[in-house]
Amino acid sequence: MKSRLRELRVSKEWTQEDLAEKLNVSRQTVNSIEVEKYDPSLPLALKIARLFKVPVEEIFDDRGQ
Amino acid sequence: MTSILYIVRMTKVSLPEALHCGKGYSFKTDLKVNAWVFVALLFAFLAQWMLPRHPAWPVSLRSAVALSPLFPCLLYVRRLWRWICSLDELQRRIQVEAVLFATTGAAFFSTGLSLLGGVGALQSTSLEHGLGFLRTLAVILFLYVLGATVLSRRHR
Repeated sequence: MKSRLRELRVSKEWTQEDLAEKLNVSRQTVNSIEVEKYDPSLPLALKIARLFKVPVEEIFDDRGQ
Repeated sequence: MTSILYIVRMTKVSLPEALHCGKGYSFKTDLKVNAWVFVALLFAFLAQWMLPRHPAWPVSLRSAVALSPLFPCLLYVRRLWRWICSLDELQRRIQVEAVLFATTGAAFFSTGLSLLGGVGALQSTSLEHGLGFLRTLAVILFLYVLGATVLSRRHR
């Protein structure tokens, strides 16, 4: 699944560690979502969307899969 | 199964690094998660030492002593499962996959040996009567470490 997480994180000038702490997950989870190796669960995707104040479909896109 | 994973609240995350050597290592966490496996090992050694020395004991007592390592093993599985549930979702998936790999691998290995023993291919070897408790534990541990390492490297 395509992810804009890295772009959004960099726009806030957060490190992966910072974002992981805010989401209460490990840095590896943030990295794996950013490099599109791992699709987050629905609760985590919603948490990310709330944190960046954007709709979830603007962060994750499953079209073209 | 999925609903079981989702009811875990993501309020307190513990990381697998707390059990591995490195900057995040915590002896307390390590001991808390793995204590029951050491109790099981102790029971297994005691059973191995006592049973050949007391052949006159009644079968019920010998059975109880022989099966005694399994009870701490159950407690270990319970503790391990709780620890896995306290991990964040990616780490949880890695650990569950590693545990499944280890247990199914050990089951295949044990069944293979049993089938070989059935046709007499393992006669006069120490594996003639199966793996036994300690060897089974060692195989599971080896496969778990292998699986967890390979899966963790994919998500560095």
